[in-house]
Amino acid sequence: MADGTLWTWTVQRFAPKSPPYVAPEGGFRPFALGYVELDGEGVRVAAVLDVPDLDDVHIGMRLSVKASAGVPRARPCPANPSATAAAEGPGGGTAARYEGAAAAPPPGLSPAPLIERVRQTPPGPVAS
Amino acid sequence: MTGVVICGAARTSFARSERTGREHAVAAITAALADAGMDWARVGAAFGGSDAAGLADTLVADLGLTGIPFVNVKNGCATGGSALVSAVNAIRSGMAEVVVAVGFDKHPRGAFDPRPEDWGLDDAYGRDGLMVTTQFFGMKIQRYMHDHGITPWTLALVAEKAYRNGSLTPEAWRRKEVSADEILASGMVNDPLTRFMFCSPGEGAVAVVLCSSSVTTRDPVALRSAVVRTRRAGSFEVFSPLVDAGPLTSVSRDAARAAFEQASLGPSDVDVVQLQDTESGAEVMHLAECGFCEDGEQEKLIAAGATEIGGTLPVNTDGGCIANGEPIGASGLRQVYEIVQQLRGRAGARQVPGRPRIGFTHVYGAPGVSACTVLSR
Repeated sequence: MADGTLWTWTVQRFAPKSPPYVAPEGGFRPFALGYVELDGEGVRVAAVLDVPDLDDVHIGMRLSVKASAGVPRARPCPANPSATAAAEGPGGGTAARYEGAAAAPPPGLSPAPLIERVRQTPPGPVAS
Repeated sequence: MTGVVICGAARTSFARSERTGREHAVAAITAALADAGMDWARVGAAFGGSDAAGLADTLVADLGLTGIPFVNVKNGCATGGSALVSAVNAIRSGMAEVVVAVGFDKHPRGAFDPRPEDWGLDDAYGRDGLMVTTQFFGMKIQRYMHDHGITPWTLALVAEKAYRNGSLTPEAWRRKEVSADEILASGMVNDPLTRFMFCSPGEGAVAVVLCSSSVTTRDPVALRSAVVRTRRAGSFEVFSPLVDAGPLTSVSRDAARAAFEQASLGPSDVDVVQLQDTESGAEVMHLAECGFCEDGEQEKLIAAGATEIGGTLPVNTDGGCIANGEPIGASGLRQVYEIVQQLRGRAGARQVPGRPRIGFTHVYGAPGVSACTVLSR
């Protein structure tokens, strides 16, 4: 797991084409995705954002990124409201609201394997 | 170095039709030759291609079996630009005196289904819903708006202008004006971009006839430079699992700078501009990446009407990709066609006033490729 700051984001408002998309149980629901700039390294990692409220997503919010069976997932950092309050944007200070959502800290995974995993899949060339 | 001019140019209507991509291409080449006052027998070499509508070299069956070299180009959004660069080199090297460059395509509704394996990505990218090109455009402009104070209203104004200019362009696909309010209310696709801010896959063809400036022609436009570049490290592109630390590099910036250098001109010399507008945000960012303004100045420039046909820097006078759709192979040459018409004073209802003398075109596409030209009268 690695902590960082949301560098940019968007919301997927419509169901991507299936295949390849596999909707979760209960069907498609809009979801947020973005790039998280990792503390120290500065590299930005693409991740699906597991946030309780799509309207609260904002650049600068603090997130923890974690490798998964699929695309890396990011969720609001547990605790440390002061760091979040210092973050830019009108959404600063929402960490407290996220604490519940992030209650169970994911099993430890050092940043190194995550970065390695991402680096092993470079963008490839394609038309257009 | 041998000067190269465009002596003939033509496009087909990009509206949905029964035509095949190849039929579009034959029609465009035939019309471009007529515009140049030449026939196919005069052409010494040809370069062209499509992304999804077949091979350009098969067109000789319809154009005439004259035995010339006809090279297929398949370079995504830069297909037209690459065909143009090849044509220039053919003329400069003495390979041929008169050369045709053609781009054509026909995409079904909702085309472009990228597959993770084609991009060297894990299947998970598709499974988890990240093989969606529009997400990238949303995320790039999202960051840009945050850094440089661009508002959603400006994005709406860009699309509003595109549809207005499209309504003045007989060959455009989208020819109905749409208001900024309607554009904002058209439904969010990928925040902050709404449905009417995007272009759609389309159809059509464009052809240009190029020749050495030593050939006497009736209405030539000088091709001062044509440049294609691919990305350097540190750029932000579609379907990237990561983006390098530090300030972003931009292939558009690189290509535009090289095109201006080769032409011995600068952005401030330009009278009329064509920029890649896959969606509204792209036009905003490309204004700065190509050197026409500083980052953030777009907010005021666009509100003040600077990029309108009557403004100080008219951009996408034919409605761009947003109003014309995007037949990938044809899109870059459409921009060149439009500048040629503007510089010749033949752009009809959308003509930029004051006899524009210098024009610029810019294409950008996945996976980080850009083609730029500088043209002058």
